[in-house]
Amino acid sequence: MKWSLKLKTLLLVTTLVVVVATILTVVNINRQRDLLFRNLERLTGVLAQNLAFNSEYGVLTGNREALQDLVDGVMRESTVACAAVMDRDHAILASAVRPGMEPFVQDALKLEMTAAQPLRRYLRHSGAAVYVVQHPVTLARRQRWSAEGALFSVPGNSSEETIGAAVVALSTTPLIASLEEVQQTTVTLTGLSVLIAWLLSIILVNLLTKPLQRLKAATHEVAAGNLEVRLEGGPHDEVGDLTRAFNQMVHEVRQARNRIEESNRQLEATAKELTSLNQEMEDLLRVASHDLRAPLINIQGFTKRLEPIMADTLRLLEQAAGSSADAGLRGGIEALRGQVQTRFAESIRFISKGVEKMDSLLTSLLAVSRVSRKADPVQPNDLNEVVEDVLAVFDHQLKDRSIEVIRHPLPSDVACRRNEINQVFSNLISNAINYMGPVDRRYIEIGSTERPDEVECYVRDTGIGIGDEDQDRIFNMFTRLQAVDVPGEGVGLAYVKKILRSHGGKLWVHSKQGQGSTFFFTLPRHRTFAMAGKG
Amino acid sequence: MAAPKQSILIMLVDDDDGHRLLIRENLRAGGIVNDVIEMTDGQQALDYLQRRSKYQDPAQSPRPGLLLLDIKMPKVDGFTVLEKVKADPQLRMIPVLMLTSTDDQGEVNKCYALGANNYVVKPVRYEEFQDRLRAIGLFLDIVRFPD
Repeated sequence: MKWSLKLKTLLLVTTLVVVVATILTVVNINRQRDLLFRNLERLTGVLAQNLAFNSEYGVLTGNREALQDLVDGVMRESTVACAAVMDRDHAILASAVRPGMEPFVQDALKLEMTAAQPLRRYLRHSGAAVYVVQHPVTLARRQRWSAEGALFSVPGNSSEETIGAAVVALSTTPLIASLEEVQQTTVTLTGLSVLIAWLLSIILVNLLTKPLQRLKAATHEVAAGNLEVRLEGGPHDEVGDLTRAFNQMVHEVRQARNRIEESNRQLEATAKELTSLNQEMEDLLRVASHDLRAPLINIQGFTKRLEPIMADTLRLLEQAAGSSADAGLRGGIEALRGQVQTRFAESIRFISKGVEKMDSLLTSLLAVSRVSRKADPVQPNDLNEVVEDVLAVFDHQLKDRSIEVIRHPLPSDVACRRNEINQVFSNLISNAINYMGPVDRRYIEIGSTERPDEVECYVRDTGIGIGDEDQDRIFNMFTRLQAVDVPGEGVGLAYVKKILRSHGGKLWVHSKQGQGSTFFFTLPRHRTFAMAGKG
Repeated sequence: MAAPKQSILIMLVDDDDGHRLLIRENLRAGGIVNDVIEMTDGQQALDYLQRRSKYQDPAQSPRPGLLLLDIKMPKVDGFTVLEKVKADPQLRMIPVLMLTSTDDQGEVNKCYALGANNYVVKPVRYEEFQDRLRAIGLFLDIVRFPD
């Protein structure tokens, strides 16, 4: 059960008070009861003794009237239920019974006569009870004795003779009534004290738990995000210490949060700046490659325009040289014709080649700038199909160079832009073919490793490998391995890297000079990377 | 070929003098002998087509039957010209061929979205360009080979 601290404390205090009060009450009532019964017994004893002593003469003389007076005198005591004086043979000499107490008289008078000692007994009859004392009436053989003297004589002398008995019974009913009264009072007082204890404990517990409840409410506020909470004061005890510690904690959390928010703001600003810089760079790349093509078109177009003119010039020069009679002039024309044929044609060839090279570079640049701008949607793709398509393109080259392809099954449901991932495989396989090494068994191996959060693919080759010093450079724009004469613009891996980054993946290589290379790349699983393309 | 087809006027809008010269020569080389009127920017082209400022006389400024439109131009670019032409009830029937310097799919899509009839990528390799222009000639059936 979940009881609040307040309730627990209340219950504890109240239970303690109730237990203590109950014990005290029980002890007190028992003491009262004992006291009352002892008083009753003593009073009955005294009355019976007095009656016995004073009856001595009456019994001896058989003066019933005098005895009746004595009995009536005893009856003046209101608690006396009955009184009687008997002779030795249980014959009643005088008696008096309070109404309703008759049954007790019968029992009291049947009591056995004792010799010297008074007989004390409780008699019970249908719920009520009486205390009976039967005191022997003795004839003392005193040296000086008289009827008057007997009234003042004291018991206990030696050599006595029992001549009768005085019986006094006191009802316990008034005693029990008064006991009940005492009990009533005690219970009332106990209840009152419990009530007071309860009220007091409520006040106490409130004093104790109020600061705790304030703390609890404040903690909830902090949990809800309000770090401006501050608790005032607090008592000078452990709860007060807790309150102050709480304030300190909130203060520190607030400072930490402010620091985090500040650094978040800075990060956001930096990210924004980077995004805009990246955007600017891409725009620049796009505009530059776009605009740089315009003059190229002119250079190429106008160079081509020169070709027919060059042909005409050559023909004319040949004719002129043939028809010239002047040997010197002919020699000059021949020399000019030779120059036109070599220098001119060579220049045009180099210009054209340069332009085509530049055009190819610009096309690659444009392709890089276009990654993630294309309308190619991100959707689940079967990588096996992608690789199939790519290998179909390279089929002729692979057969030509007797390169074996080892294919392991790839994941069939990777979220990606199909055209771009096609480009990734295309570039990696093309590189593997172009940089294939002079080994007996030439192969390209394609496979993957599945992880819960990503797919890792690899393209392994038996190529010439990449030296340590080149392994970082190959992913940069326009970087090519110098030693090898292979077609390309040196944009491929930079392009591949950019595609993978836009997918939220990575690209890296394991390689050793002369021992082939393995290119690895990852594509994330179950992730949206629409934002990643822009960052 | 029939005379009326020859009367189809081709308007070439491009801010690059070299490009205009090359395109005109390639049109000729491709067998297209129609008159070609050249405009150096989009604003001038619109003024001519909508007969404003110095082009108010219809006799002096006959309507072209084909528009060759470069995209990147100062003042008013090719997209805007295309948009205005296709929005003008009197001009919208003129076929428009966009001349782009790249095959950027975004640009091509935009051309078609604005109502261009076709597009040609200005190539660096000229044989290719000639083939393309020859195709335009066939497309419009305005080719006349020299006698």
